[in-house]
Amino acid sequence: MLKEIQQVFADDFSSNSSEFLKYIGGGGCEEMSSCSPAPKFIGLDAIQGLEIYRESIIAGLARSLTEIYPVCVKLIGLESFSLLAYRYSENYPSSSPSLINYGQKFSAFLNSIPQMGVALPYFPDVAALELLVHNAYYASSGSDIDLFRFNQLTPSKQSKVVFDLTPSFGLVSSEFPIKHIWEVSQDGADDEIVSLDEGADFLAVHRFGNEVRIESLSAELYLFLGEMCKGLTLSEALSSVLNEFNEFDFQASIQLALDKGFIYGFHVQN
Amino acid sequence: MSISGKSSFKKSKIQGVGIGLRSCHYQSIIQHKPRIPWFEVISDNYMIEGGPELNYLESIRNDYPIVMHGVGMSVGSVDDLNMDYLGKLRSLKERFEPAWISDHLCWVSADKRYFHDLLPLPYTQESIDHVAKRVQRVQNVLGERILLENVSNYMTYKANEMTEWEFLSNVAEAADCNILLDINNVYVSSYNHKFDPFLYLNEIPVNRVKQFHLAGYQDKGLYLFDSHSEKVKPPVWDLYEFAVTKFGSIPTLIEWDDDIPSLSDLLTEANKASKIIWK
Amino acid sequence: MSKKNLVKAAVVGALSAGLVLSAGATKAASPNDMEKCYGVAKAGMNDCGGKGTGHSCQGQSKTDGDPNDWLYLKKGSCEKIIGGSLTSGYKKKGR
Ligand SMILES: [Fe+2]
Repeated sequence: MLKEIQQVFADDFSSNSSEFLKYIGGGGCEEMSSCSPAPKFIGLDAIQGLEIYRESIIAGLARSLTEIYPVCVKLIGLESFSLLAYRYSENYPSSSPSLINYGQKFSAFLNSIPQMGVALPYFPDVAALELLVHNAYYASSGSDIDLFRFNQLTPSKQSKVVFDLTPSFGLVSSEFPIKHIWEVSQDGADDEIVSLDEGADFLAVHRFGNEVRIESLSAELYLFLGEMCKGLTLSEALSSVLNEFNEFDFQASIQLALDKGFIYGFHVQN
Repeated sequence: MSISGKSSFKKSKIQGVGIGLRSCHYQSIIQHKPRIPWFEVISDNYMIEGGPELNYLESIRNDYPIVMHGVGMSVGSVDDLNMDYLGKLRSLKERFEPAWISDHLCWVSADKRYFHDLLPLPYTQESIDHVAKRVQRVQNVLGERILLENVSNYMTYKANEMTEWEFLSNVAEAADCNILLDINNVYVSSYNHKFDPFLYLNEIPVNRVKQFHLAGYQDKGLYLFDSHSEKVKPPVWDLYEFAVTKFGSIPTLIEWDDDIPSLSDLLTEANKASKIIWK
Repeated sequence: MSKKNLVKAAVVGALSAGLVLSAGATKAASPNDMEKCYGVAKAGMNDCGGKGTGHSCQGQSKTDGDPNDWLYLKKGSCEKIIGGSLTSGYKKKGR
């Protein structure tokens, strides 16, 4: 019976039906003998009761999106954001016991909305940036790289090195200035106008100590780090960058990635 | 980390009226170290890999005893127990040494889907057996008795075989766990389902109740909603006074999760409860 | 031979000479730093409060309404973001 009840409740969500109503009754006193004092009126009926739960569930999911995507809320206003958040919450179930992990596909969902590309083309990219910031905030710290060991490696071993990026690390690019948009949307930021013509952003997000940072990268370094994220070796990543770009100062770039704290370890691929 | 088995934190005794730890108050707590006997911490918010939240909790734990209260255990669900969740809870227990751990007598997930809402169980023997079995497994993993809280309730199953208070008492007995009695939830459910909240309290076994919750509801006309967004309402204070006479000076928590006020406003609310508990 | 290949050859040469990297900045994580840290105002994600009446989703059109309405409801700081599509019919390309 318990299994059946819970399955029907879950199925109702997927199929947008109300089969669950058959398991619940009207006010408590209809069924219970121990009502005391005698009721003046019957309490909540089945339809009202179920509706309270369903609304609370969707509202709870939608609310968690407002916590993860505060800049998006600011950009379009709470009313408009809530409408999108409710749509998402109805269509994307949560599979984790913690709401901290919810909303991971929100940017893709925004991209699937037909008029988005014309009306607010940068909006899904801002959401992607906010998700990285959110995830970085809760990521583990990682450890420090053993540079002594790296520097000891022979050049041919070094070319087979795969760098491990710090657990909070993430990359996002946009043809719009999403970092600037994010910055002017922070509490206490100056009242500034952002022009979309400021151009593309190639960004890394990571946490340094307790602070989540958004760093602007060159297009070359962005590609290089992206290849590192995929687990490519140093020489594979380098040739991939040189396929796209004419020049790449890789020594300085890797040093920059180290200085910023992007890299926390490495291993040599056989 | 405690290695000798002895607590690495000085303070662990839970007494009097505590408040829920919420991140908007971190700074103020760390800076001013207000006189608050203990905090209740939402365990789920710290089941994370790293970052500032855990540092804040550690810093606050150094100055205050805590209890841990969760929303994701889903003891009433027929899905498999989430061992990953329990493992994380155990790690938190080992790191932060809460005086006890609680969750709700409800289900929050079904068919591997989490609703993040406290859904009531039908009050049946089948539910009692199911929950008791799962709570025993949880208690084995954690190595201690947990507290289960009564939830606010807005619907009545046709399959019910008993009252809510009989169900809660029977589960605690069968699972050999303790009870976190939410006085506001008793009142909200009693209003919504038209039963006598005093009768409810009278039927709960005294030796199982280890903590009270107090919170504010919203009057929606037809029903009361457990919003945790306002002050504790007069009828709940009355019920609380009765609970203190029956169960004794049980540690009590003021819950406030939405439109969270300043720390000093919360303390004013806590002082009202202190006056009752230490009368 | 293109410039690309020249640079590429130079890179392979550099790698064969061996890379020497110096230590990056170390991470500060003392509790005293926490005042500066981003995310202080992050509200707890999970709670056992009633979510249906929450501050964050108050007064919205919930489950009804056309999904496209978001566009006409929008009242936010996006008005301060100008240029691109909003003035020149700029079209977003796939990423
Ligand atoms: Fe409660």
